Amino acid sequence: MGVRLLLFLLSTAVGAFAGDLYRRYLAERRRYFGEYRRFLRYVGSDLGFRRTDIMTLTGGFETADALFKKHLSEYADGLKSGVARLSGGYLSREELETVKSTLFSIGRVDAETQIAELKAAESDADERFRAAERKYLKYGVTAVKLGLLGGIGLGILLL
Amino acid sequence: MIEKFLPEYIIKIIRSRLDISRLYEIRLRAGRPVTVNYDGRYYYLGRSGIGRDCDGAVTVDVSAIQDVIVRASDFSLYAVYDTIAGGFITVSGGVRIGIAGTAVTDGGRVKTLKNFSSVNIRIPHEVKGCADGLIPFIADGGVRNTLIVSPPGCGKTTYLRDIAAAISQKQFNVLVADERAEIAAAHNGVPQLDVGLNSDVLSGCPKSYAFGCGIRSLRPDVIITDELSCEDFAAAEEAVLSGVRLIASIHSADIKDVVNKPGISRIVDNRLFERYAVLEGVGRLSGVYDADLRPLM
Repeated sequence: MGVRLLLFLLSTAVGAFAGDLYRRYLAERRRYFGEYRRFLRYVGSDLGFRRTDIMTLTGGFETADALFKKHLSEYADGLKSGVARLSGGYLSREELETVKSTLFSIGRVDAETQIAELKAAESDADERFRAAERKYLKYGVTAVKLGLLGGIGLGILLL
Repeated sequence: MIEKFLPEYIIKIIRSRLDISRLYEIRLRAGRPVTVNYDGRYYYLGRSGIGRDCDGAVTVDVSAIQDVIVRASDFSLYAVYDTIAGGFITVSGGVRIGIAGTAVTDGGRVKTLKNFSSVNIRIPHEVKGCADGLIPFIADGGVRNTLIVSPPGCGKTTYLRDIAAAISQKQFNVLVADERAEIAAAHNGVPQLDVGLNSDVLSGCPKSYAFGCGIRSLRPDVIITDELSCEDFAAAEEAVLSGVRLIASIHSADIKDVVNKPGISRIVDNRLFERYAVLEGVGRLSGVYDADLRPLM
C-alpha cells in the first residue's frame, strides 16, 4: 500500500512537472521571439539616426533570454570568423534559418535598403511572436492542469 | 589595427617579414599583385617579403577586397556608405582606406561606390615635432594665418597635425576642420591621432559648415584644415574676417604655382595669409614667406 501510494504521488508529480515543462517551453519561445523582434526594432531605429555599427549594437543589447543572448554572441563570433552558425536550442530548423539569415544579412547594404529589410524582418518576427504568444495563452496554463490530471489518472491506475 | 580587416595570409607576411613602423601604404587591386609603400618606395609583396619583381607576389581577388571594406566598417556598410561616396573610410587607429569602384549616381551626384575593385590602405605615422621649424614663424605670441604649400605626398597633413598639437599646447582653442578625416582621423568621434588637448574636431563635413557653424558654436581661436580649394576661399575669407586665425594647406608644386592657381591670386592680393610655408620632399620645409611673398628663411 505504501509503495502504491508513493507511485501515485510520483506519477502525479511527474505529470505536473511534464505539464509545467511544456508550459515553460512555450513561454521561452514567446520570450525569444519577443527579444528577437525587440532587437530588430532597436537596430532599425538606430540606423535611422545614428547608424552605429552592428558589433556595437549587438554588444549593447541587453537581454534576459538565454538563447537569444547566446545567438547574439554566436552572431558576433560568426561575423569575425566568417562562419554563419547559430545553435538550435528550442527553435525549429526553419525558425533558426530565418533568424540566422536575417542577422547575417545585416551590414551588407546601404542604410535605406537596410532599414527596409529590417522592417520586413521585424514584421516577420512580430508574426512569430504573436503565434508563440497565442500558443502559450491557449496551451500553457492548460498544459499544467492536463499534466497534473494525467499524472493523477496514471497514479489511480497504478493503485 | 590592420589585422582587423586584412586577409590572414597578408597579415602573416607583414608580421613576419616587414617592420610596420616603416610601412606607409598597402594597395590591394583585384586580380593583381599586392603592392606596399615601404620606407617611401613601392614594392610588390611576396611570401618572402618585398621585392621589385611581380613574379611570386601575392594577389587578391574581388571578394577579398569586398571583405576588407566590410570588416573595416565593423561589418556595417550602412554606417559608412556616406563616406564611401567620398571614396574612403577611416578605421580606428587613424588608418584611412581609399576605395576604387563603380560610382552610383543620382542626378549627377555620387551617392556611393559599388563593385569595389581596389583599396589603398594608408597607415598613419605621427611625426611629433616635424613642424617645430615652422612654429616660430607662425605662432610668435599670436597665431598668423598660414598656408602650407606642397605637392601630394610630402607630409602636409602630418605637418598640420603637428601644428594643431603645438598651437593647442599654447592654450589656443583649435578647431580641426577635418573634412576627409585625415588630420585627426576621428573614429566613432574619438581622434585617433594627437591634435592637442585644446582641440575640437569636426569630421566629415564640408569646410563651409565647419567655418560657419563651427565658429559660432565652438568659438575657436584657430581653425586648421587640409586641402583648401577654390570653392573654400570665400568661406575662408569670412572666417578670417570674423577674427579667427586660419592655418590651411594647398596642393601646389611651389610658391610660384600657388600665385598662378585660379582664384588664389585674389587671396594673395588681399593678404589673407600672413605666412606661406613650402614643403619639398617628404616633410622638408624649404621656405617660409610673408604676406607679400618675401622669403623669411
